[in-house]
Amino acid sequence: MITSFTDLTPATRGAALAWLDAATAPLDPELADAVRDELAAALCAELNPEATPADVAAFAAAVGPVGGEEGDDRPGTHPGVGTFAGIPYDVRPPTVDRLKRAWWNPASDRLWSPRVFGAGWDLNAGALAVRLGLIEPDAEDEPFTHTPDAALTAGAAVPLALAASVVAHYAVRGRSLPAELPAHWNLCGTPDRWTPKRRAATTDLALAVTAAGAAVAGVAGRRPRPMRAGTLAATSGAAALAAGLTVARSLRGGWWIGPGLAALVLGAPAAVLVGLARAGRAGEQRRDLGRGGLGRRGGAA
Amino acid sequence: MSRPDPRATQLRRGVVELAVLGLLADGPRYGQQIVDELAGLPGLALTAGTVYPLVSRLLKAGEIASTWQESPVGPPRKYYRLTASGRASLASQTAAWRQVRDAVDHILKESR
Repeated sequence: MITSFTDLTPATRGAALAWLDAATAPLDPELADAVRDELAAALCAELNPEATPADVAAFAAAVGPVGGEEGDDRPGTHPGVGTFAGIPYDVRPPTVDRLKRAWWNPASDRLWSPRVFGAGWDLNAGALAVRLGLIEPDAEDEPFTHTPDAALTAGAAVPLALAASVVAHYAVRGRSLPAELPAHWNLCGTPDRWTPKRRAATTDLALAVTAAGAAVAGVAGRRPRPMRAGTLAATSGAAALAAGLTVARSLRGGWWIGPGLAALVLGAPAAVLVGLARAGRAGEQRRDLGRGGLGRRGGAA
Repeated sequence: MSRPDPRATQLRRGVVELAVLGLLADGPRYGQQIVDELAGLPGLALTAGTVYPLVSRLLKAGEIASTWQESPVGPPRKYYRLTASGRASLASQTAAWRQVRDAVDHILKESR
C-alpha cells in the first residue's frame, strides 16, 4: 500500500496517471473527478513502492472498462457519436451487439434509442412488444438463443411472401400499368418525380428478390440463431419496402404513402422478431418444463 | 408527481445490484415479484425499467440463473436464483456496503 503516487517510481507513476486519464476521459465531467479519486485510492491500496507499470496494467485489466466501453453510446463517449440540433448521430461502423441493443431489447423500457448508424432514432421493437403485451421483458434469457430452427425457417416465409407478391404484381398487372410510375413523393404524398415503368419494376423486383434470397441463405446457414433472427428481420424490412413501393407506385399517391411505407418497413421486422421471441420463450419453457410450449402465453413477468 | 432528487438517484444507482442479489439470497423470485418487492421500498424507488436490464446483466455475468416453473395461478413464470458466483459477489458487496455505510454514518453523527 502507498499513501501517494509520489511513493511510486517515475515510470510507474506515469503509467498510473496515464491510465487514470484514459479511464476517466469518456465520463461526464461531473462524474469524472469522483471516479478518478476512487480509482486513485484503489490504486494506492493495491500498489507498493516497488510496483512496476506492469502492476498498473494488471490492476487496470482487473478493473475493466470504466467508461466509453462498448455499450456506452452517450454523446461524447466516442469520436463520431454526438448530437446536432438535438438529433443524435453515430457514424461508427455498426456492430451486432449495438444493433441488438437498439432494435430488440425488451428488458429496456425505452422505445427509441439513438440510431446505430446515421442520424435520428431507432425503434426498440422489443420494448414496443412489451408495451403491447405480446412478450414479457424477461421472456428470453438471451434473445432468440432458444428459438427453434423450425421457427426460424418459418420466419423466412415473411420476406418470401412479400417478394412473391411483388413478382406476382408485375407479372399480372405489369402490362396494364402506365408507361411511367412515381419514383418519389412529396410530404403530402403526391408524386413529384416519375420513372419509366421498366426501371421501377426492375428496382422493386431486384430489392424483393434480393431480400428473399438473403433470407433463405441466412436461415439455411449455421450462424448463431440471434444472427439468423437479425437477418430475417432485416430482409423482412427490405422486402416490405419493395412491396410497399410496388403498391404505392400502382396507386400513384395519397397522404398515406409516407406513414404506410414507414409502418411496413418497421412493422414487418417487428412482427418477425416478436414471433421468433415467442418461439424462443416456448423453447426455454420446453427446456425447463419438459413439454410443448408453443402457442402458450409465457407470463415471465 | 414530484421529480426524483438526482442526488438520491445517484446514491441508489450504486446499490441496485446489491438490492437484487440480496433479495434473491432470501429465495428464488420471478421478475415481476422482484420489481414489486423493490418498488415497495420507497428508499430504493426502483421500477421495471431499472430492474429488468439489471437482471439481464446479472444473468449474462452468471451471478443469477433462471428457470421456468409452473404457476398455480396462471401461465409459467421465470424464476431467478443466485449462483455460487452471485453468492460470492453478494458477500463482497455486502462487506463493502457495510464499510461505506458505517463510515458515512460515523461522519454524519460527528457532524450533528
